[in-house]
Order: sequence, then C-alpha cells, then structure tokens
Amino acid sequence: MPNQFSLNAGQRAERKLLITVAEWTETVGTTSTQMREILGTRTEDSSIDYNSDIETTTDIRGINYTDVNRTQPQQEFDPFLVLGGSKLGALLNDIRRRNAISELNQFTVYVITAFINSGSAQQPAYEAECHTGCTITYTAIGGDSNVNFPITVYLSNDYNGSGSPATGTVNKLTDDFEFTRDVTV
Amino acid sequence: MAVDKNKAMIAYLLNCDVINDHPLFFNFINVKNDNNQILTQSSDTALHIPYVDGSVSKAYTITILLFKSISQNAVVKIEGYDDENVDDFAAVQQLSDWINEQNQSHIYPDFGDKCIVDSIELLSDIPVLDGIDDSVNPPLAQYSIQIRVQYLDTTNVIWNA
Repeated sequence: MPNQFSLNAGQRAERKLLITVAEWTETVGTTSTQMREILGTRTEDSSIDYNSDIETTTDIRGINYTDVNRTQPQQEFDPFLVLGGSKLGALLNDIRRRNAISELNQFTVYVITAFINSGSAQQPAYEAECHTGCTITYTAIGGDSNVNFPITVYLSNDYNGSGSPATGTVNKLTDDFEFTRDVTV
Repeated sequence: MAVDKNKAMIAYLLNCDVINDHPLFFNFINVKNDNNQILTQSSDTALHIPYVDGSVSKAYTITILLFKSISQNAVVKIEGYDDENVDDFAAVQQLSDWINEQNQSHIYPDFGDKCIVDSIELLSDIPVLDGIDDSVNPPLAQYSIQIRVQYLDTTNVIWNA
C-alpha cells in the first residue's frame, strides 16, 4: 500500500516539495568528489513530462484496450540562468565549450517527493526515486538581460542496469543527503 | 536573522553625498531647504509566484523627497552667473546618477544572507518636481525620486546546499 501524502486533508502541496537533484562525480587527478545540485533555481515553472508511448486498440464489441508501452520522462528547466555558485552550470558550460557531448550522460538524478514523509519530523524519510545514467543537455545559451542556459534532464528509468529506477527515501533536504533504497521482501 | 530593510537602505543611501551632506528624515516631514526625506512605499512585495525551489522575487520601494529653495528669477545667460533652479535640479539629479552608477557596478544595499539583491533602479528617468510651496520664505520646490530594489528572497527555499 502506498504511503499517504504528508499533508492535511485538502492541503495543496507547494511546488518546492517536488525536487529534482542532479548528482555527478568530479575527478581531479586521483581524487573523485561527488557533487550534487538542486535544479530549478530561478525557474518559475517546470514539470516532468513522461512522453508515454500509448497504443489503444478497440475490439469488435467496441471496448478500448490501452497499453502504455514505455515512458521517456524528461524535465525542462527554462530559464536555467548562469548563476554564480552553480556547480552544474559551470560543468555544463565547460562541456559546451569543449563540445564534449559524450560527457552529458554521466548524471544520476534523484526525484524527491518531499510531500511524502514516511519518517518523522525529527528523522525525516522523504520518498524519492533514483535514476542512474541520466542525460542532461543544454538546449541554448543567450537571452536578454541575463544569460540563460536552459537545460533538459532525460531520466533513464534505470538504476544500475536493473531496468527500473530505485525507489527509496532521503533523510534530509540538503546536498549531503543519504539515499536509502527500499527493501523488497 | 532578518535584516531591517529600511535601516539597510538608509545605511546604503548615506554613502551618497547628496544624502549624507544634508539632514535626512524618515517618514517625517521637515520642510526646509536642503532637507531630504525617505518615505517607505512597499517592502517584501512578491513580483510573482515562487520559483520552483521556493525562492521568491520581491521588490522594496521607497520615495526620497528632496526640498530645494527656488529662485523666482528668469533664467539668464550671463557668464559666471548661476541659475539657482537649474543648479538645484542638477544637484538632485546627482542622486539619480549615483543610483544608476551603483546599479551598473552591482553595489547594492545589504538585505542580509537570505536576500540576493538583483538590482536597484529608478522608477523615473529624472527627479519629479512634485510642486512648489511659495507660502514659505524662501519658496521651496519638492522633488521626488522613487527607488526600487529588486531582490530574491530565499527564506523559504526548501534546499540547503
């Protein structure tokens, strides 16, 4: 049975409670550092589009049968402004300069639904899903008064080759969160 | 801890000679030559719905009133002769120029850790002459300059980097 929303009856979930976080590894010499960044700073509106491939057939009785063959979730962040302190922005700009497009598919992406807390106020456990091998592309650079560098995140629907994203929880809403996978009995 | 934006704005404006060199009043009118007055207009006005991460663009607006004695003499073109009204307007204009320079140089009032100031702008190109009071001696002109500080309020951001 799914966990219920951690909201009062009729209370709407604020948009900020649906969080997308990009994770990647930065290697300098022999030292690797895990980097994370929440996406959506100064973005007014952004949704995950599932791009479902749907096939509907109708039998001779007129009954419709609809199959969802696959989903190809993606999320666009526009504007994604060039902001001081943005680690992801700096990385993508470096990739853009070198046209090193093969480096765009190195990301792990967490989608955190912070409106579901299966823990407590003291020890939260926000439901999340983890996709490995995701791709983040820049779609343009420019704009008017500020430099806009819009990006699209393509979720892999996969966790290390398992064929589906890992579900679990995160213990806090900061860059150093720990992701704990759900235990399947 | 939240920063008092009015205090921050006063501290900022005192860096400008036009403000610093003359008596400055806050929400209190003392109509005398060369006196200046800050009138609060709005604070923490959200410019639109929150961004995806919970931060909000907001505006803080004030009006500065500047009082200058005026001359009733016509403008003349005589070498070495100063037209008081023209000179006074130029002095008031210096505040507008100073604000524009600060904005160009990204020097903003300090609204604290939770606010990222984006811009400080004038709401009119030149100081506005609101009116002339000739019932006092000397007669006074009241100029006004509206200033808007646009900032990002990150108080309700959900994520702590």
